[in-house]
Amino acid sequence: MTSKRRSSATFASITAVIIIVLILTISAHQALAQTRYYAGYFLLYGYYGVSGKIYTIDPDVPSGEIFAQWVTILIDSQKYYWVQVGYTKMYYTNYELKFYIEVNDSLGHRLWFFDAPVPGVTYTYTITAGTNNGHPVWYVTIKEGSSEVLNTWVYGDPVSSDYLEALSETSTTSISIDGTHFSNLAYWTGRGFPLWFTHLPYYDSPYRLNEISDYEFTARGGG
Amino acid sequence: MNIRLAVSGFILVLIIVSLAIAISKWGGSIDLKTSESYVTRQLGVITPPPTIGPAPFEKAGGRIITEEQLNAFLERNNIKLCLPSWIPANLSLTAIWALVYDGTIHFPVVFVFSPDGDTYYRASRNKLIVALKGFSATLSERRENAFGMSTVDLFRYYIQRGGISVYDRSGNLIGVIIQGGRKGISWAIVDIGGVEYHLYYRDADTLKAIIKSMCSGTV
Repeated sequence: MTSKRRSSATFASITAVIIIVLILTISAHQALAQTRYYAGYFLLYGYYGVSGKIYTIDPDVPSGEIFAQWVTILIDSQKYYWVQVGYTKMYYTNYELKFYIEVNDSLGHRLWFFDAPVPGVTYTYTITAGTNNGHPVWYVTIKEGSSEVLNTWVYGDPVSSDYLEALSETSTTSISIDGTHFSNLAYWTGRGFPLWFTHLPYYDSPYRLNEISDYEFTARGGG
Repeated sequence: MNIRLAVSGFILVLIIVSLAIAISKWGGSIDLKTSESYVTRQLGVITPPPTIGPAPFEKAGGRIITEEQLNAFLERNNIKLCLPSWIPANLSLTAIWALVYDGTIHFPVVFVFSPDGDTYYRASRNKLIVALKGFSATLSERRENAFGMSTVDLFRYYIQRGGISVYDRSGNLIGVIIQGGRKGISWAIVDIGGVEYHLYYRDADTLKAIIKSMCSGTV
């Protein structure tokens, strides 16, 4: 009888583990295979730095979904390598707003979350190439006005650039991006940050883009 | 009694796994002005991390172009194309991609050589990808201004870390081959005729032979 009980308990435990593993596998697969919806600008030049002001919105994000707004250097489009900084609200942040840095390069895929941005506040997000002890790195800063929220660096391999992106991203159109506002989009020359002098607009329906200039846009829709 | 025990075991495993997941998913906040290793130590890199990710090449205007469009682009920019005259026998040109906006072609221009008709622009082990990334002088100036490393400095940086030097016939350092990166794809940057070429293939030796066959490049 005791061994029967043990067998039942073992069987139940194994079943539970299998169910959990299956659920996690399916969830991970769904997360990776999620469709993405974008709205924003591209600058089709390989500059080694990007900067932009992004007004913080705080939309409702359904379970399992992702919302993020960011600036990116597309390091290598053949290997899909990039470095990105912005803010997000998603399952990995317990559906709270968080700043983040994401890098995907020959060193691997890394993602860091940081303290929370305040809804209604505009932050300036910047990525620039540089060296640290002879190693190529990406310097990343987040500022609120002139006050620094984050100033850090991450290794870059390679430090290269195909083009720049400044986009709002969601994994479902049920997320409203009303209030989205990117401004002062700029690129790094090594000496300064001139404003973008051209842009490629992009948006996935049902999102809409209002092009104010080469370096400023608002977006809305969804929800 | 059996059922009670089974349910208890089930719940216990659920609680343990849920706690483990919760702990692994979240780290906390960090101090400012940190190094990457510090950031990593404090927060931990989430494995496998979710991809927030940029919009891919296609959404930035990436599309397959015709040879006529390519030739017009090359002529307009006075670029003499230096594609390899030798590639592995099983490969053939399946597509030419470029960023196109308002009818204008932008770098990178990507040549896909595939053994099976695959036209996708991303590098993989069984394809050869040759991408023109831009005018070498402009890119070198951008690099030097941005992070104090000229293109030649960059080549030397990789050579010091095991990269293979690429010289032209006059003995000038014109590139580097970096062996077997992530997913086992080797990669090369070569500066030929004022244009920067990035090549991707599974092994460095074949890449060497391919580069040797490009215009005046010799390894």
